[in-house]
Amino acid sequence: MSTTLGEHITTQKGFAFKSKWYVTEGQPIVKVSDFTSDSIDPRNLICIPKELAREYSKYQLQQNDIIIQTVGSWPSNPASVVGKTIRVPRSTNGALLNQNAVKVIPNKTIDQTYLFYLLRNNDFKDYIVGTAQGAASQASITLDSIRSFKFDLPHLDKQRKIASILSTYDDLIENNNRRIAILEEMARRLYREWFVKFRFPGHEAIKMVDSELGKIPEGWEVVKLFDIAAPTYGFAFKSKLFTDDGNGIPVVRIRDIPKGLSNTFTQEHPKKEDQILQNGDLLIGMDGDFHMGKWSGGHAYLNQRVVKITPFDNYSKYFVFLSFQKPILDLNKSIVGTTVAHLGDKHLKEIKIILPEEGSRKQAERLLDALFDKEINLKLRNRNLQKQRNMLLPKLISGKINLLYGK
Amino acid sequence: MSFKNIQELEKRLWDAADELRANSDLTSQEYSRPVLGLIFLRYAEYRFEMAKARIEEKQSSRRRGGDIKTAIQAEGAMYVPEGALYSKLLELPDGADVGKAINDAMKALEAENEAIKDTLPKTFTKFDGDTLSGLLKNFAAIRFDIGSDVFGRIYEYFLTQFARAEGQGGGEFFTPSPLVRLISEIIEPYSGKVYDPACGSGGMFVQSAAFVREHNKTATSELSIFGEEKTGDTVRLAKMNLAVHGLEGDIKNGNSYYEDIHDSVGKFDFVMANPPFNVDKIQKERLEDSKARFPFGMPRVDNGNYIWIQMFYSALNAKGRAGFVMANSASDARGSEMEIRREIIQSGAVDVMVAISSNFFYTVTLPSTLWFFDKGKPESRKDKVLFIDARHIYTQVTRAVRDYSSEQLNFVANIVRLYRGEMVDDTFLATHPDERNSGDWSIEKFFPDGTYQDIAGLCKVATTEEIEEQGWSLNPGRYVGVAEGEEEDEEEFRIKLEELQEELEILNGEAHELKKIIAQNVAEVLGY
Repeated sequence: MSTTLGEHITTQKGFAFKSKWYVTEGQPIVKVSDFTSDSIDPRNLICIPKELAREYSKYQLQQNDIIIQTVGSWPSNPASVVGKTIRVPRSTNGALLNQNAVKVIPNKTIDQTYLFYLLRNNDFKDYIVGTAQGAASQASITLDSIRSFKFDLPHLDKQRKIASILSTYDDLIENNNRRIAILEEMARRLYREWFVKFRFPGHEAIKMVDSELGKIPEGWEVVKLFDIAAPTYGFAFKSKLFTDDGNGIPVVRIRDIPKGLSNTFTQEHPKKEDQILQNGDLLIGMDGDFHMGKWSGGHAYLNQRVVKITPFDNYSKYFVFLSFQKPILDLNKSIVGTTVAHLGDKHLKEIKIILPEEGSRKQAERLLDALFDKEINLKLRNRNLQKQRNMLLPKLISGKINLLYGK
Repeated sequence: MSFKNIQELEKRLWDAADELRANSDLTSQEYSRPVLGLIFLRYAEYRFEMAKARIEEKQSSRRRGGDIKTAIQAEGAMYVPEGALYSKLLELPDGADVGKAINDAMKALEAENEAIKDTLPKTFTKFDGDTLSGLLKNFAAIRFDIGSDVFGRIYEYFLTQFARAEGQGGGEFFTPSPLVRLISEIIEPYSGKVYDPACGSGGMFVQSAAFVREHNKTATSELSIFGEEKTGDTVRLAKMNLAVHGLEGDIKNGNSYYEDIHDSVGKFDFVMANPPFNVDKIQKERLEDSKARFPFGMPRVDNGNYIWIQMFYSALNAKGRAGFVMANSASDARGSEMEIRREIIQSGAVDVMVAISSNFFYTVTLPSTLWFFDKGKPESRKDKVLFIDARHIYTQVTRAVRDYSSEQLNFVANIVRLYRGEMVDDTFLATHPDERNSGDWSIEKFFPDGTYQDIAGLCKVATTEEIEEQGWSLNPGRYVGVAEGEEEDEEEFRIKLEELQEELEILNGEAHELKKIIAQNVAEVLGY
């Protein structure tokens, strides 16, 4: 049965909170710049004082609220595209919604989770971008155009069934993300306990001696990063040949390091074999924030200003990764470029690390390697789950797949 | 009786039953309930025949007659009508509809016995005849003469194996019997009302009854059993489990957060439980008004641990004792959870805390802590808590599973008895011969004077002041200290790493459930 969205929802626009109210502690405000591709990043939320916030309680968000971004970029910049629909995660429960976004509240006729997937579907995205207006740099959509969206709405049982199929994927992806974070934290803590605080098994019997990096256990040594690993610098691909249409091989730029995934492709080939990446490769971005990451986006090419660090045979990836993490962060603080900071080969060459005696190191590496493999495995599973969900979503929402629901 | 014989029998029966499953297209879940039902049916006939023999003996000199059903039930057995006899099912002719015959037998048995009404599985027509005949023959091989409670043990063994095969969701973990048994040894439920608001298949009751029996009393006359369980299917398992062990109890289907079916406040002599760990999304606003059940208020975090803990606390009468399994993170939790913990500690009810090694659960490796409350503590122990760090006490069974030898379990329970100024009680050791016992865990070795003393790395009595100094932590590791060769400040690292591992394991369990659902959905989408 064809219907329009306006019959099934009410809306609540965000409020233009004044920047002079901003404080660091208080009631968090969610801005469109805090949106991720389908959620909210809770890490850098700005706040207003709690007393003030009470007057604006109608802008308060709850977990699972659905929000559409009403002002943003054109589709050429998908990160902040207008019409994007996100769902409020538990971490921002209670935050207030800023301007340029609207909360969509379902009536009794439509299931909330189903509504979320309906608005995530390409039919809605294409429709809403088609109604957008504005200049080249900024597009906006109206509440009227959101309300006028026409679609077929199945009855509630079927909506719930479809919603449950799709949200199982999102639940598992969220579960996997949390597990990845836990594994990373475990690795970090283990490394710190053993190799920074020197409380490794059997440390009581070991004497501490002087070194150029302070006191270290006897039998340990200070070495250069490049004594235990080798760098491969990226290839200068022609950016005018880059596409986002999936033709060619993904190119890994600095911005792709944190996610471990690239959606930029090229038909060009790199000069060296080494510039081809595989899952588990260690990467450092050489400009800006000096992102560090473990690649999990499959077969891909290494672009310029990204360096791959390959541990020598005898050293484990996670150990090497954790060893260079702090020196790189320190460099990031100390190197100040004119506009962006640049990391050079000369800096990397000088990185010194404390190399534990082999017994302790091997023991840690066994633990770390297992964590590393599990992390990469979970990331790959998430890619698979996202693909499955993205394949099913349009088919289920359009009713192209018939389900034996309610059995 | 030979411990080994029963172990071998259990394994043989399981292997045979599992092979039959492998040759059918049934999932472990579809298979487990009917198989347990068949064991139950076999047992019902056995108990019935024994009771009949006893009655006939008594009546041989007297006139026959009277109501045979009442007489059988008075003997503590179920009345098994002709149509529900296991032996008759074995004699079915070739080509008979075995599935239907078993369904009918289940119905006939239920019709005569109120306690198991709507409890037994009746889905046997889903099986093919060969599988059923194989199963019937398999369980016919159970011998009665190798010990008491053979059926109870086999039933529990199957229950455990199925729990292992099916895996579990979220923070719900099948309680391994060594932990259940240790709880009963420490709360010593000699007689009274026992309550478990998260009773699952009823393992806590079965072990507390075993405790009573081994102390030469009759469980049915000493204990009244009250349970609540949220999954209907599991309630049926629990009822069967009690019946298999010759126990009676009041097990109800309900969600203990929101429905206090047994009107529990202040009512019970004993509470024993293994609640699901770290449950989220509980609707706390529905509980806020139940001040009697949750006297210390709602935790602000989205975690059910301190909701359960208060449920156990409030269900005890003025002399009641509780023992339960808890996620380790609860002992050190901060914020509003710490405030609740502080109030419980200040009430003087916390009696003993025991840190348990990892790998005791079957499906996850996570370690856990046993909490013990005693509202009837004497004045001398009112402001004290006994901490036992038993993380290093275990016997490795397989690479992934740990257990207690009967000597180890007996040892831990006796530390508590010494602390309470009671006599050492070796009943458990005497009734559970165990070839793994080596004499290393004898109470004389650790406590040569026969009186309690603090031992670094093992046990320590702390006062309320000392607990306050530790930020109201109930983590035994913080008090017991470490044996020689380890260092104190490593404890923080250990605690944090353990917390991470605990969360990871629970997520693994959830992921396992979600994966199953996705596989089913995909099969449906593809039209399989």
